[in-house]
Amino acid sequence: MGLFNSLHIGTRGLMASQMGMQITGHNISNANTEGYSRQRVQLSSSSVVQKVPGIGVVGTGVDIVTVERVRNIFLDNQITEENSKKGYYDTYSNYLGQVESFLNEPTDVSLNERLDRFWNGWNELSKNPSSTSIRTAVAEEGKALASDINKLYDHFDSLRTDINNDIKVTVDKINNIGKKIADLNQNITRMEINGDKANDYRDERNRLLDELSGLVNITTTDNNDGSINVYIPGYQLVGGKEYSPMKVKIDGSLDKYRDDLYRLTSEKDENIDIKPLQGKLKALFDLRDSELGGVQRKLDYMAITISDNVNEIVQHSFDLDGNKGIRFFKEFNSDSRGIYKIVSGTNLMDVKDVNKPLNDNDNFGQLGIKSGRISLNGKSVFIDADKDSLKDVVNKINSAGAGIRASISPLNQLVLRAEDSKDFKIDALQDATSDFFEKMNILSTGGSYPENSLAQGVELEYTPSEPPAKRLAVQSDVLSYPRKIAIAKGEDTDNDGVYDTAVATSDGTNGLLIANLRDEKLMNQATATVNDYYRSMISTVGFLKERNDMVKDNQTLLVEGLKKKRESQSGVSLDEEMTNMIQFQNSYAANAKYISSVSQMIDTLINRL
Amino acid sequence: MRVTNRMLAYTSMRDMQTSLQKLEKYQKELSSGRKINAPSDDPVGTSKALTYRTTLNKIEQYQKNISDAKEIGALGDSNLGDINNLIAHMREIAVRGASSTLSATEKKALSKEVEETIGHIVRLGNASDGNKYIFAGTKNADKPFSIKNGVVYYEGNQESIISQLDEGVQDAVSLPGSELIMSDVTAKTKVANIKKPLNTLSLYPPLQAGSFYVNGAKIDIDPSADSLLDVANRITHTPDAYAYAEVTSDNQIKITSLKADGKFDISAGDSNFVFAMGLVPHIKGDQIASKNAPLTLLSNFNNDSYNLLNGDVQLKRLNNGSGITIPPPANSFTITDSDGDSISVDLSSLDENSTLSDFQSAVDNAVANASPNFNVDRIYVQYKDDSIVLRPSSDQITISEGAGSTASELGIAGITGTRNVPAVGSGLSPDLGIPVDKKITKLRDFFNGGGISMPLGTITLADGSGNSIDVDLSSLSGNSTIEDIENKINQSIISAKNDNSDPNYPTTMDFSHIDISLDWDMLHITVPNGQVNISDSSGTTATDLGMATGGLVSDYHSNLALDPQMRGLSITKILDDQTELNSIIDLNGVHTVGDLIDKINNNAYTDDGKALNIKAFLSEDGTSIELFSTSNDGKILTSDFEDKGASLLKIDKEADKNENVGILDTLYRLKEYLNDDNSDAASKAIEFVDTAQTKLLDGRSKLGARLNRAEMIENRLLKSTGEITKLLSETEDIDFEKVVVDYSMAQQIYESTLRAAAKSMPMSLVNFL
Repeated sequence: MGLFNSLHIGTRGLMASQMGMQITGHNISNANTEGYSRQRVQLSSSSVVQKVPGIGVVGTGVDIVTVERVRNIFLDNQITEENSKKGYYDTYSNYLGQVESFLNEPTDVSLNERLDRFWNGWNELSKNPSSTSIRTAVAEEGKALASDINKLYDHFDSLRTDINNDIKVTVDKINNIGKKIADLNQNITRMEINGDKANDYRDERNRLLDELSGLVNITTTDNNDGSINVYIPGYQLVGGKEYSPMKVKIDGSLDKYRDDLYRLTSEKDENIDIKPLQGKLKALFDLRDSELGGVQRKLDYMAITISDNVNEIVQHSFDLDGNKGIRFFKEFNSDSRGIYKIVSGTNLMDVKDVNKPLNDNDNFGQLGIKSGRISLNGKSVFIDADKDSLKDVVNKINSAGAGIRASISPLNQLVLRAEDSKDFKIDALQDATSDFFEKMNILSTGGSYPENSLAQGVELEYTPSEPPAKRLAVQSDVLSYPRKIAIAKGEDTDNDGVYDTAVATSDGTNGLLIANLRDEKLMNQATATVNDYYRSMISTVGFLKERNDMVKDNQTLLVEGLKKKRESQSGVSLDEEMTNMIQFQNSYAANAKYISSVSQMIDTLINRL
Repeated sequence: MRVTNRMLAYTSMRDMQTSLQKLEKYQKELSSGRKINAPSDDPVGTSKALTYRTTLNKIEQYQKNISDAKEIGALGDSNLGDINNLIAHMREIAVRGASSTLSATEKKALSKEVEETIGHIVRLGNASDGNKYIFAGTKNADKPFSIKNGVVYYEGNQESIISQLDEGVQDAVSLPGSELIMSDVTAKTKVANIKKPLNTLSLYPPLQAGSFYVNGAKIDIDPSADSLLDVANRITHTPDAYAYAEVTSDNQIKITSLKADGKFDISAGDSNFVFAMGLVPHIKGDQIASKNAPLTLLSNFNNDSYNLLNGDVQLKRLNNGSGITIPPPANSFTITDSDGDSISVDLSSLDENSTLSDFQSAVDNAVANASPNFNVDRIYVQYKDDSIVLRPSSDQITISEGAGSTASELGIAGITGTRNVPAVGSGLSPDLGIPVDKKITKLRDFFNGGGISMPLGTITLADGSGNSIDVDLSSLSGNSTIEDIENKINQSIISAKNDNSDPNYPTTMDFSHIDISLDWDMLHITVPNGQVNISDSSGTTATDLGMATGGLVSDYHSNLALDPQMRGLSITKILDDQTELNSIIDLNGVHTVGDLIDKINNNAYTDDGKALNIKAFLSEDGTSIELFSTSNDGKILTSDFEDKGASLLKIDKEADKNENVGILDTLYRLKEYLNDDNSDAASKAIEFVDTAQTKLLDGRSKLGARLNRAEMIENRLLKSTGEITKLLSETEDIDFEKVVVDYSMAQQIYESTLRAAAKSMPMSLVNFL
């Protein structure tokens, strides 16, 4: 034991205070650093001891053990998990907000109003069929309706493009973070192999994990060397210092009308499909495909329904010059890969009264339809030809859930249309035990489609090859010559069951039929009018957004709560640091004083002796 | 919990953010005045709001429709009112024209006025609301009425403009002019199927291929190929026919003239379409033979059961004239009640000349004398067709044979009946022949039309006291009757009594007169006292008539059946209102129904030599005769002429024109009548004018009812608009006061948040060291 030794104790004390001061300073300066966890100097009394004979062991001062982060790993994991969900709902809400703003409901300038005005226009025209100005107005209303639907569709299309791009950007970001984490892993391992604590690297890694969890849901596992592995379900993004970047690849099969949409895969192996379960990325895929794609399909359904039903009436009517009506809405392009609509090859001579039984004298009479089952898209319908009228059959078909809506044309023909649930394609028709389809001139002998061909006389419309909502447009001929809008009722003068002339070119009867389409249940197996359908589409978006906002708020609160908890543990409190500072300052002063005292003692010993 | 400065700052920031968000929300609500600014603000409310908005938009359209409909309606009503006034005036003119005090020149002036009125009505019928001609149906871009060469044509169509007045309520808002002022004819015949070839529908008379005429235009028809619809279309699309034909909901063809000149005409050509459809006036005779007894010979009428049973029928006439077996030996039958008590009806007092009334008396008698156990107080004897019907006043009766076979012969054996369901016997086919009347049946009609040889000679009457007188019948003719003979004889008896100048003849016969009656088709001669002997004096008249008694008798039945034959059938036909064409169909030489029909169809000429425009057919069931006018404008009247031919054939009826005469046609007729100075026809025109006015009033009230309905709907819509607007406002719009209060509260909260943050943020130990 000697004075020099005591001096050492003082030095150690100074060093400890200095270190404490330094860490306090580090803490204070990082008080606002995102992801930073406060650090603490761990001191312990020196392990080197001096034996003083007869007295025992005397301490040799303080030792700096380590500088540690104050951090709760359990909280970190929780935050990662909940943050993924928050990321999902944040993104979802954000984009749904845009969808809502496109829809612009309920206002006086929305599609709902447009539809109403369109129907009203026909009604107005039916009263004054000869008025050129009202004809022009109807054509223009039609154009405006079509262009509104087009615009809405395009909005959704470009929103989907934005989202698609966002997917790419997000994936880049994830890759970037992955790479950084791998780098940090390497640094941490290298540093901690020496037993040092890589506190700040770990903080940074934690911050990156937080960020990553908002983008995509992840799980992590610890390796023994301080590095971690990061997994996106089914995919290892980071394995220690290695990282496997993800990649987006254009896949034309994702949407029948688009070939620019991305699929998520790995750079190493393009064959794997990565399916995020949470986080922004998942939200983006959901929005792009099911949400917006779904709304677009609904618009398609509306567009094809409006167009086809209006056309059906005008094509059975006559224009102001007495010519047979042309389509009001342009025909959709098709690649004839599917049949959207089948019109039976019958006419007024076969069915005179749609309310009388099929086998009534006014209808098939002696020819007779056999009672029994028919099937549509595999769904069975029983027909009692002696009791059921054509209207009854239509109702039966509509309630069969075959994805086919039946209706009756102005010539009392049976019309079958595929609904959106069947992708506007009629799959199969069959006369099982009845011969209804054959007698209605829909199926040729053989009794089934597609095994056998359809009857000669049927009229067909093929499934559009482009999105109907995008392509809905009023015939240019109609726009240039509103005289060609056909609403005059037809008359069968030569009694062949087909209208051959107008009762009068100034007749407007069929305009009213078109106006009244608004009250016809044209959609969803004859359960919803066009307006109903649109309304439910709007309120579905509304409900979704409302629910999302709610969940988002909850999730935000939850994540914030967790973060608060973490902040409460790991955050820098200036007051605390100030206190520490004073503490270290005083301790430094005390140590200095001690050294000076020891120094004086040495001086006394050396100079005064 | 450990709290750090960052937490403090963060919390403050969040609080501020929350407050600001709230403020922003309220601000948005206040500036837009709406609480739903995006569907997610209130998805249910959004859906409701959209429904309300659509409903309001719809109602707005309905209201426009109603107001347009009212406009057209009011215009239509006022024009119809004007037309009505004109017609009222026309009625006055018709009344004046019917009076004989006006000169032909004055009537011509009136005729001119009628013509001008036609022009005026045409102008009113061409009313337009600025967009369309309101009486033109849906072919309303051009004027519906035009006058060409003095004839009015309707060129609109028959469709009504339909308007949507409310959800699910569609109504016609216009009346096609044709419906109001043009003539039309609706067929009487309903067909089973309007789409099948006509001759597959067992129509009567069976249709012949050929043609008929509408307004003079020839319409061909091939019933083996054409359906009723085809024919209707062909008429509509034959331009020269100026007619519109449709099939009504009752499957009848209705033809409307689109040309008015007072001469709308649908007439038969070589096809009988117009007859089969009942488009022309038509009478169907009552049944004159049973369904199973086809009419072949006219004389069959006599022998056939065309007359029904009644109390006056003699028993000998039953069973096709073979009568029933009259006692001996058969004389009774039995009636039994429900509990086995029976009475016996004694018929032994009846003879072959007894009537069914006598039979009834016998039944009554038997019931009156029945034992008290017999449950029935009275049995009524009635007749149904050719059967005896027994109806007990109570309980039930069963008839069974007593002695002989009388019950069977009367067709009542074994039948059972109650008050409600009487016992109906089997058919007795009475042979009733033609009712013969000594006052009516003419001498020339006897012996099946062979008559009595003319001229009549003189007959001698002698009495038991040796007195005799000659009666000269030579002044009588074939037109004379038995009564005429009786009168001649009795006059001779009386004048002999008063004239005693000839000593060869006793002045007074034993009897003051003789009675000659016709007992069915035989003479029955009786004298009140003494006896008479009638014989031929000159000629064979007494023998011919079966009056030669061959000795003194007091009561003589001739042996000779006179067999009278009916003759003399007249059919009158009125071609139009001005001309009556009468034709007398002489049944001489007509022996079969076919003869009669041929005669009417081919050889019937009117007094002035014109062909009779009537066609005759045997009815579908072969039991009656049907007569058709060949034109819708005609009239048929058949009546007896000299004799009872028409009534015996049961065709003494009248059928008027089939046409619903339109206003314009009426006026054209009136005009012509006045022009031709035809007062009678002008007075007939009054009737037409009245009909036309009724038609117009019908149209007006139809229009009025629609207007009323539209107005009712309008009121209802107005009310719903108010209610729905209120609902929409409640759903969509903010409650201003509430939002303002909320806003100021949010403001205060924000301020407090700021203040708290300002206080807490700078607080740190740093400041105090």
